[in-house]
Amino acid sequence: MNQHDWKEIESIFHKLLETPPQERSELLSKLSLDRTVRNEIESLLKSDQEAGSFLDSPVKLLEPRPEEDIALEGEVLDSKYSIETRLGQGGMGYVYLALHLGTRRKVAIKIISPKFMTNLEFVKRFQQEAQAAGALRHPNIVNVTDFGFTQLKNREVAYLVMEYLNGLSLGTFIKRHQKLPLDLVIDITEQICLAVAEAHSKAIIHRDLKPENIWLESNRREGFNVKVLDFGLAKIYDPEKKLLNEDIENSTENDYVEIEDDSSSEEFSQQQTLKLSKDSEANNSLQLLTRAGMIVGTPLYMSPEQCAGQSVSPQSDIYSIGIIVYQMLTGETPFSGSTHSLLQKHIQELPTDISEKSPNIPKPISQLIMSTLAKKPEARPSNALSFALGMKINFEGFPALLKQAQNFSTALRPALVYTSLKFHVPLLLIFLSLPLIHPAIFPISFLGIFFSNAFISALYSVLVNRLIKTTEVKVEPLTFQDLKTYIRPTIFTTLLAIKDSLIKQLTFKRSLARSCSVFTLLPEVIISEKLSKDAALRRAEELVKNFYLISQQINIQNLWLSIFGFLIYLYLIQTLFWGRYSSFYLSTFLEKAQKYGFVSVLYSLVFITPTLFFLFNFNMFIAVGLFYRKAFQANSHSMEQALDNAVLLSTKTDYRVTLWTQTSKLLLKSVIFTAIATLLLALAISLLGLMGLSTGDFRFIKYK
Amino acid sequence: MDEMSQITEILLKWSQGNKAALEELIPLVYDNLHKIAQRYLKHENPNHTIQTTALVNEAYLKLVEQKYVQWQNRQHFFAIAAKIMRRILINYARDKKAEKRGGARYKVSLSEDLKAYEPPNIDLLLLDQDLTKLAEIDARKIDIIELRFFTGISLEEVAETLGISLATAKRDWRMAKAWLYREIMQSEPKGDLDEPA
Repeated sequence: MNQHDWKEIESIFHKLLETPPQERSELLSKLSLDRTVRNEIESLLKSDQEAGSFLDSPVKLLEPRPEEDIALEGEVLDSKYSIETRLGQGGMGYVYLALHLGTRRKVAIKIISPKFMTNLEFVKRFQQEAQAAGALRHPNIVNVTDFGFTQLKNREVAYLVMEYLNGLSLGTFIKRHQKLPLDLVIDITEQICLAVAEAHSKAIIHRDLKPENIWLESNRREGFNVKVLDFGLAKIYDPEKKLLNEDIENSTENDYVEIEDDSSSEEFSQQQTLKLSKDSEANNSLQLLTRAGMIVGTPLYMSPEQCAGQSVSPQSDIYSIGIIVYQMLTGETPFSGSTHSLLQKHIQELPTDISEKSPNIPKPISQLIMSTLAKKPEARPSNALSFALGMKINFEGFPALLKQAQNFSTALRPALVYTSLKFHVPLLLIFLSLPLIHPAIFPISFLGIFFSNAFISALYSVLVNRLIKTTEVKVEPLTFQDLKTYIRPTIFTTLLAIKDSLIKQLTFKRSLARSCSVFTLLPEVIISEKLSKDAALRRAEELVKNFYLISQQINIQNLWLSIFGFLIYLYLIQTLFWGRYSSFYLSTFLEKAQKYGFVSVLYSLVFITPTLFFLFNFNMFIAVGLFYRKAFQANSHSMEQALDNAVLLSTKTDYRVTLWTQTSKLLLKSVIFTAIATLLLALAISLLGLMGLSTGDFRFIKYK
Repeated sequence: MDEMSQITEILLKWSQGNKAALEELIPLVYDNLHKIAQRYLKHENPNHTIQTTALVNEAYLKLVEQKYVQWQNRQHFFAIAAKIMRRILINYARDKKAEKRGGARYKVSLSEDLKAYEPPNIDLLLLDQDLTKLAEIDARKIDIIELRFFTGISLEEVAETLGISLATAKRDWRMAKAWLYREIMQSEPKGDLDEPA
């Protein structure tokens, strides 16, 4: 049959299939075809009818028979460990519960199956796991205590001894509870991230993070201790994006492991001389061994670059953590399906936004989680610690910061008071006396107070920083030298930032709220990171990016404090220099004050009390400083940076404090202070009256 | 050098439209896929079956992890793997048969002989012969059959892999199916199947 005939047959075949069967022969005879062509078409139509489900179900293979099990229960391993029961199955063997005979302590022992022992590479792999785990000592990483080779039932085995964990895997826990509450998820995530960050800092990438590899033990304090297990797939990682475990890869001599070539495919054995490069082949077949078992499980948590076979980085682990967090919060992984479709989805498909599935999660948190699932590793959080911290800061919000600030302000009180008297009070006085020159300058004076509050809070954060870094109790207060180094860049950069934000707002490029957020951290950035101008602006924007809610809260508080403080200062100054601006400010009140001099004194003193209160209430300012440090840590590009500030991560705070209780406490305190002060003053003045002094002449500056 | 750059070169040629370049990659993929398939073919467990897709995926993962090959996408890989899966399974069926004949010298039914596969009622050796025959007439249909039947991916994915429309894939599949069914029904199992094709 020639090509032309075949094309013709094919087109007629399909045409006929579209016509009803009874009309087919009629149509066929109309076409006046060649005899052979017609026969061919008829026979094809006939077999099309008969074929049914022929070839429809693809060829399948029978799965390999499971390993024959050797009962090891009751045996004594290496004359040290008495094996009790089997706990589970791993990639290369089984895990047993055993008793360490020396200490009578329960341990978990992973024993490599004898069939893998014949192969040097599997043993090396196992050894690598032991070494990876041995390099890591962290409360959130399972502790590996022993590794060795021995004879068991006349067979060579290798074993790895770990601490025995009570409790359950995160996988089981999710199955039982489906969706987990946000505070628990954040606690678990933080611990996973601490473990993973520790591994990353030792240049080890886990590569197989999944709920089954995360163990939860009750800590008897309403929470869990999280332990990350199974560094069996771990790779040693070099920051220059090169895998480092050369000792293992180079030691491979014969890469054609284990599986003999027992099929007689002559045609290919010739071509096999085009060999794969030797080194990592065996290593990979080792991974695949684990993989063969997990091909149904783990692709659920695999990063796009793992699916595509590109090089893995710490960001690959962060992707897997993101999937786990997503699953904890929504009860399901973002992707599901067969291995085939999973690999494709990880590479191409965008996951459903977590806020659609769980609308109760605060937006900054859901955005942060979605950022871990970015297809490009660079777009994910830069390290595990910063991800955990970002979640935590957003979850706890501003009240937690205030609460933490209280501890710091207690510890730093002398230095803070000193700094306040030396810098804050003079600054405020300067800005407050500006309207004395001319009333029209008063908006500048207001801005100045806002600015000095921000600047002072940045100065306080320098003190906080000193407290974190020092082991001594006494923290050096700030000197004029410090002020000199900080004030110039602060002024220039702030002016630039004001100009920049004005332009951006006039051209509708940025919202007012976002501009304010940037101003929150600008002084901190200038002082702590020694950046200025554009660089400082960019950095501040970067820092508040994931924390816009908190920065808004801080702005509101700051603004509120500034307005309140400004009004107080204004009254104070006015009353002290009364009459000067009586026509401009509250004239009626001042006229009365003129008549009754003692009343004005009373008022000025009454206003002094809350003024002092605001000058020496450091919590708010320190909270801003703490916020900066946390945002810094959560945006760190290197592990060193993040760990440098890690001291704050461990501070436990009470989640139930609301912003309202904090604010109302502050208000209540100032009201009480004011009331007490008023009472005391009233008492003092009455005493003066009793002593016969004319209160009417009691003025600081005589009017006219 | 050389394997690495060699393969990159092959892939480059292929992406530039040189179809023959694909064939050069076959030994490499074959080697991997074959080893993986061996595990399954050596000790069958009659109670559990597994889609060949899983094996191909495994081979893919293995090759991409080695980073010898920067596969542009998995579809390239599947296009090659389908051909190879066919060869592996045919070779296996042939060996099984030869072994049974030469060794024990008792007659076995074909379905028993090919117990490593499901569905067992298809004689893979006959199918292979007929596929070779069909290839002489219409090579594109072979690609479809190989992808669908030997790697188990859906027709949609087949269409995507070959860069044809789903409608075309469906039409080709139907035509090829009718043709192959007729050929298989017409031929009797022959003694010379043991010989290399």
